[in-house]
Amino acid sequence: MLRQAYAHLNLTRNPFGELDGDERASLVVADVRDLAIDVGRPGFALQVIGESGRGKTSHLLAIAESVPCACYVRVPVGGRTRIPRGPLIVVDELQELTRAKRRRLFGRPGLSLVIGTHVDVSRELLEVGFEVRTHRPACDISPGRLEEIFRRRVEWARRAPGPVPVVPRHTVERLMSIAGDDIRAMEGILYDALQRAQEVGHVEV
Amino acid sequence: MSKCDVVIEFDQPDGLFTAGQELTGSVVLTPTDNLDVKEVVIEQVWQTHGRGNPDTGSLDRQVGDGRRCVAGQSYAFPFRFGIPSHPVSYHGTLINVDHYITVRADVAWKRDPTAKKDYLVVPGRGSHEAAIAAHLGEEDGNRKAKKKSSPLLWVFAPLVVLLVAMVVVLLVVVLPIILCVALIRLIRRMAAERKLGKVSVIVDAELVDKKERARKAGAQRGMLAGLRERFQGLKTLTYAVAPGQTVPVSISFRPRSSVDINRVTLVLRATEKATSGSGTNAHTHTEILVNDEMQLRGPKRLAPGKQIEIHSEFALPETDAWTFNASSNKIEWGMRLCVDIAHNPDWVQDYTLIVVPPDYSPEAAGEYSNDLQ
Repeated sequence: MLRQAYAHLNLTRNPFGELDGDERASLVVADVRDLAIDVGRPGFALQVIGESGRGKTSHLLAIAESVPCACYVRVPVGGRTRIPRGPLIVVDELQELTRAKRRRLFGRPGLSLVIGTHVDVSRELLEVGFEVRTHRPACDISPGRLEEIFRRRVEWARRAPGPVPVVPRHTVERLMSIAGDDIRAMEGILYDALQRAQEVGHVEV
Repeated sequence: MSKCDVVIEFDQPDGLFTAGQELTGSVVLTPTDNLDVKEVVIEQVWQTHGRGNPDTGSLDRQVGDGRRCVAGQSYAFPFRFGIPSHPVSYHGTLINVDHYITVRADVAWKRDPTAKKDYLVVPGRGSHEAAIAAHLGEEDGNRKAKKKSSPLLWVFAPLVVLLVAMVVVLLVVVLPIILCVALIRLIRRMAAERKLGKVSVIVDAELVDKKERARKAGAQRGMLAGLRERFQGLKTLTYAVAPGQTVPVSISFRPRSSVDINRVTLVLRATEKATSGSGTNAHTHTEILVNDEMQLRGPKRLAPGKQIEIHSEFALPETDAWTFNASSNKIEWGMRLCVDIAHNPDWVQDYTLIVVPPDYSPEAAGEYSNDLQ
């Protein structure tokens, strides 16, 4: 008999599944107000560095949401994309752009940049006169913050008032011992754990 | 900060609907401050959720007129939608397909209040045809679930043309590789058939393949017909089957020489495939739902010239894992027939099965029989 998805957990969906960009941006647990303070000022660049699954895109989307006139673009593999014009461009996966394309982008006059990248491009930015600030989201990861990320995810998927699954501190610590700072890998483990869960309670891995 | 409660109410409160039914209800807005609502957009969508990137299809849309809403008062916006025939709801391990009514109240100078409520769709009359039409990429008849498309696509049409040109160039490079693989498969098939003779298979189910239907309607003509037929023998044919349906399968061949066969098997396989991320970060998760192997014939030495007939059948398990094909989320069913020949390449034929809801139409009494090859 078909029944509402995850109704037994008082959820509408598995909160640790994949999200689209808007959902991801709305669930970011990061105080980007401090990061975004100089964003938008011509000649200022904020680079957010980290490997996959460390929260770069989430940070970028949250900054793009919080700053008016920001234009978000994600560079696909191979770098074949057109970077839009504007005073503030948020570029995700910048490492996919060739050095020549990066140089052309950095050379635009009066530009402010927020970039997500796997590799440090601060030297290239400094060479063309940008003031650069670097942020590594992985450095901010703590058990408390992860607990908050997971709590917010579960709340977002809530179906009705009442108890919902909880990711307790000992589960978070166990996840950190398994996946280090890779939040995406932790989400994968939690996804499987919730698929197995029969009733509302603590999520164990 | 002002707030506006948005509640979606269905007239049928259990939220369980059969394809073809009507879904009626209303959206109730209750603002805490006076609000100028320009319009209320009520949309009927399906969405996937799970391990793969979410896929979405917009089914229908209604727009409620704007009005000035006074704080503390409730304003109802009724809606009426037809329940789609395809896709139907599915809750699996990696993939879930659900239906939603979404609401966005367009409010001047404020963040638009939104709400979303899920409901379940079970197959009904028309689901069988709609599922096959979706597989063939044809229109549903009523309406087709369509992807959200951006008007920017038209602005960037020249860019799209350029991309198509690049794909054509890529094909020039990739095509020889594809041809080589097909040739290797053909050689293997010919080597197997040198021993077994021509193998003919009858799968007694509904054939779902536009080209193959056309081919069967008219005979092959022309000089290349023989070669074309040989290559078409490698083609994966598609059959529509319903859960619980028993499908008779017959294999017949006349060995050209004495041949030892180790076994003849039929493997039924179903998988959920969900792709998360994109580009170099893309990862495809796979969950095997069904992997059943049936041995149709054990080891045997076959004498030359003697007709071999193997009659069997397989029953599709009772399942709600209907075939589903979206860009990042797929539920695939397949069948493989294999004649394992000792010291020779195996004779292998793959079939795609599309698992569709049963055909409830009166015409469905007729049976489909298709002689392959």
